[in-house]
Amino acid sequence: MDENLKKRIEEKLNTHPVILFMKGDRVFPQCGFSAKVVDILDETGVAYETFDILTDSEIREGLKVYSSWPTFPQLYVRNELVGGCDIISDLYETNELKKLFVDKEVLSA
Amino acid sequence: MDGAPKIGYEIAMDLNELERLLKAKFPDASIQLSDMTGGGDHLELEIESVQFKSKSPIQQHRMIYEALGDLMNGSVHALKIKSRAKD
Repeated sequence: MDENLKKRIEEKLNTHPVILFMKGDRVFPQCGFSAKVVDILDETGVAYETFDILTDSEIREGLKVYSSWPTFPQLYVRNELVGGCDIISDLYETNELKKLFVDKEVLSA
Repeated sequence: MDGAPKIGYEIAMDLNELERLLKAKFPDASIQLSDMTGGGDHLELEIESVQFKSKSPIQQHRMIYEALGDLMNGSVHALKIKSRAKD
């Protein structure tokens, strides 16, 4: 994959401990799955950044390759892909999501 | 959503193709695929395979996406996945 694009992606991941790549933004999500993850993140109280992949097709296509993950939303915590809507929902329902945030020191216990 | 709404036989073809690709990669798997909206672009997959043993959910989903390849970049807008390891 293109080195500059990789750098752009990694810069975003490095700058934001918790970042959600989604369709739309947290106020106006453009997809039900993105909206659901926003709701869950708000519920946990974690501080997070969002990036609207609909505004940047390079990042959008680049992330699919970078993470071997073809769909959005994608949630990253400390540079690592946690998952898409299904995995985030499962983690939330089993109370593991908050634990993960606390373990990764992005949320205080 | 991209493009024109799909019509019946196109939906059936996508579902068949999806199932074929999954069976090729996970021959042992029990697979249940359903069309959540009737529009053929919001699908739900339940899959159980021995290959998911000791794999994290994220690894399991990646294996599934790998099997589906280009299909995920085309006609399927959303695929809800429930994967489990089979004993």
